[in-house]
Amino acid sequence: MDDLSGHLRTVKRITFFFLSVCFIGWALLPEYKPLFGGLVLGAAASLANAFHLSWKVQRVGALSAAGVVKRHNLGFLTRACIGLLAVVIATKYFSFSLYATVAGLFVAQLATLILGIRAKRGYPAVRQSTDERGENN
Amino acid sequence: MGALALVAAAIVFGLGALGAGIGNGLIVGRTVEGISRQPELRGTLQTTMFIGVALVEALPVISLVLAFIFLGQA
Repeated sequence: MDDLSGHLRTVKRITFFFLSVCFIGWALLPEYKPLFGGLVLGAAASLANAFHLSWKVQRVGALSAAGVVKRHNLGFLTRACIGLLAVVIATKYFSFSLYATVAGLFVAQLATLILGIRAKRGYPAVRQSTDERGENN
Repeated sequence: MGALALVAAAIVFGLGALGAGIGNGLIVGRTVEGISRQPELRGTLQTTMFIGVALVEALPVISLVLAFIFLGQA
């Protein structure tokens, strides 16, 4: 299995869990709505950034493995603009907390960091089933 | 205050972009080199590159948002 796809799937799962916690907080604690709204918007933008980065990394890897000599970039400007767009939408249109939105922009990165440290320590980034581990053969 | 805010925005985004550019260049260069030498390790190297680039790019995103906040106060 491709390592990056499994890693990204775990990051997606963690971010969706975080989003669900934020939505529950939004519903149960209306006085903290700007905080949870900013976190939701930032985390959604962060997940979009993670998907975009994964697509770009896979493209760079494929081109390198094929030996294609061609200019390619990682698309940082697109990701920066997505982050900026999230901040502008949060502050101008919904009056969410700016600091919560900026903090939410790093949810996927934090999940990536924690999963990377776990993988370096020997824990698998993706939990495999018994079939995948070959225990039922 | 206005001129100082402009200078602050320029410094924060300029230095953030400089550091991220150097870091990204090192990460991508070494990963491409590794994949070219050992294409069978592509999956592992791509994952390491994804983690590194995601962490490196957190700083310029923060600096970009800070720069626009400073520009808004100029």
